[in-house]
Amino acid sequence: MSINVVRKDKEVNISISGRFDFSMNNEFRKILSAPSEVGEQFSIDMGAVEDLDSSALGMLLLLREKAGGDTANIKIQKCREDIIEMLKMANFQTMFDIS
Amino acid sequence: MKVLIAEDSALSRSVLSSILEKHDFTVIESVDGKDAVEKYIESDPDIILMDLMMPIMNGYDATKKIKELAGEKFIPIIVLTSMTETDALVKSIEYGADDYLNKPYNADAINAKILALSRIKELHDTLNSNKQKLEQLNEQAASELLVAEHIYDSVLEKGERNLPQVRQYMRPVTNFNGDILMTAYTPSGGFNVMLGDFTGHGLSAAIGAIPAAEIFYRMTCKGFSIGDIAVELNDKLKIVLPLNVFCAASLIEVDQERTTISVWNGSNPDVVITDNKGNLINRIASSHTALGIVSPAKFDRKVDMFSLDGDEHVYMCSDGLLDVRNSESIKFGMSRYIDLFSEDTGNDVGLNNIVDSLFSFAEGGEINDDISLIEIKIDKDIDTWHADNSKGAENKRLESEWVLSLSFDAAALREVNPVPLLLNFVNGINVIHGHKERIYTTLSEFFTNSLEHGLLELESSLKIDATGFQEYFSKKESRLANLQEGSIVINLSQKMLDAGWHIIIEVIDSGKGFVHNDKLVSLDDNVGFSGRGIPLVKKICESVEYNNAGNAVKAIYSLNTQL
Repeated sequence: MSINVVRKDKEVNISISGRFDFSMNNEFRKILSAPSEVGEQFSIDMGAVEDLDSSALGMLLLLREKAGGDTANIKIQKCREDIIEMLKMANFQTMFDIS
Repeated sequence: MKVLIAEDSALSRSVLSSILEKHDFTVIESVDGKDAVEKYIESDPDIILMDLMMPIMNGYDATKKIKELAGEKFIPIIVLTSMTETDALVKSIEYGADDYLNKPYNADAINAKILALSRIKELHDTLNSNKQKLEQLNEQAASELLVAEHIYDSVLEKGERNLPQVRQYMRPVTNFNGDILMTAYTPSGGFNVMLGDFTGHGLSAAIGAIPAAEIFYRMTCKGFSIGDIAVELNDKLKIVLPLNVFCAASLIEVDQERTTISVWNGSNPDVVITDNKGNLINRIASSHTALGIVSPAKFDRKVDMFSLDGDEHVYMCSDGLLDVRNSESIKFGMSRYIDLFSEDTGNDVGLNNIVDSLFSFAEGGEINDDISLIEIKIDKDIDTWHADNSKGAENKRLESEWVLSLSFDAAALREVNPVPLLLNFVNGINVIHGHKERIYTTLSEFFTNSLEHGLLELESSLKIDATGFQEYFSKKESRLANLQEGSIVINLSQKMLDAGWHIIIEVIDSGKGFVHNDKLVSLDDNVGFSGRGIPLVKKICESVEYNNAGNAVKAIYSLNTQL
């Protein structure tokens, strides 16, 4: 499992692989504690995510808050079918742009 | 740094001492093994140079003894050997020595070795003190977890409150479960069940469980619907819990006649309704965000409602159940769960069988999350009119005639749900529990009819099937939100009639009149989906009468009614 972060101007691309769970907490914290810029755009590539748990959902919520809460527009991309199902069970399609 | 020398030859001792003192070490001398052990205890040196062949106690035994005394503390021991004594060297290492020095002594070699070993000792000491700190923290965390567990158990009364028709299988991963199950009767004899699954295990669950239990039990016994309860839980948990901690929850509400079920599912796996043979009738997928995430303004309280025959089973589970993996690391998953309820498999469903299927699937695999599975048996024949008469230990009842009157205008009806208020009203009558339920049911039945049919002019014929039922409730919501005019008056009185005390319940609305006496038949039929209806009230009360316009109803309830 790993997290990769690439910043390009105001675009922050995060790619995650393996199991997205509490073991990613430290890495994710680094992203969250990085200084915020106005108009930052986050997108998360979940193509290599095999599984996620509720602490992963919690981390996504924290990222959303950092990106502006209800005004945030975070893209969660390339999800496998079962991952999409899990995100939908949590009703996350109402808070994130999931594909 | 203090160096202890154990050497029986006075000459060797003084050579070593002078070398060491030149390098600014503090030297303690001992003359044999026994003396070395005593000096070690006395002076707590940082490092020991040990000759092997000594009288009284040799260097091997002294080394062993000192290492035993040191326990977890690292005290480096360097044995002093000559080049030829390889057997002795091996033996001394076996007895616990850490390194060796060859005779004759070389000042630089001695200094270098002492420095190297003292560096290792430092590392060892740091590790050791970190380990102790960790152990302390661990102990502290464990004892705090015990406190959390205690709070959690006492708040939830760990299952003691659970209704007899609810069975549960719960398997906690940590020493206590992050899942909570709460069940309680509503004042009219229906019941509410909530299965919650907090993020993480232990402490966060305990923190959330306190307000959640308080809200669930308080609001259920006041007659609030699960939609109201979900709103309140969400508001409270949003405030109490950190942003990344929340509570996936499914709530169900079954009415007193066991003819309808309402479901609110926020991020839990599908709630399953089966017939009495265990075949799937309905599955209600999550359509809401978990509790404690969204702001009150964005919270969606909408429930799904279904009719019941009064002979079903309802299953609820937490996602830990779906996350169980088999030896090939494949998840149990939703579709396998749902398949358990399919007609084709011919399985006997039931709590135990589901758990068995799960474990035979998981054999050799891993189970990480908390697992909860709840089975609720709906049985209209044995289960209705639950009345906790034991609690009715009566205060002195007001043995006189009285009248109470309540009036709600459009604004009040828009803003508040007065049904729970009615319960306070009824509680004020101070009669035993079984009567209260019946009076409350009559009152809320009349009130619901006056509001929905009288003021909001909803057609109850809409409710004949499930889609109509949904439509009915969405119409009700929108019309109520736009209600500008109208009022409902409730009169409640106690009178002596035919030598017995009676409660007279009267509800009058300002509507056009939704029912005339000749149409009462149609209302009588209106039980299928509303689940309540006038027939029930007629069974409860001595008499039920509508006025000609159909906007006022009066029921007489005898306090001599057999419970």
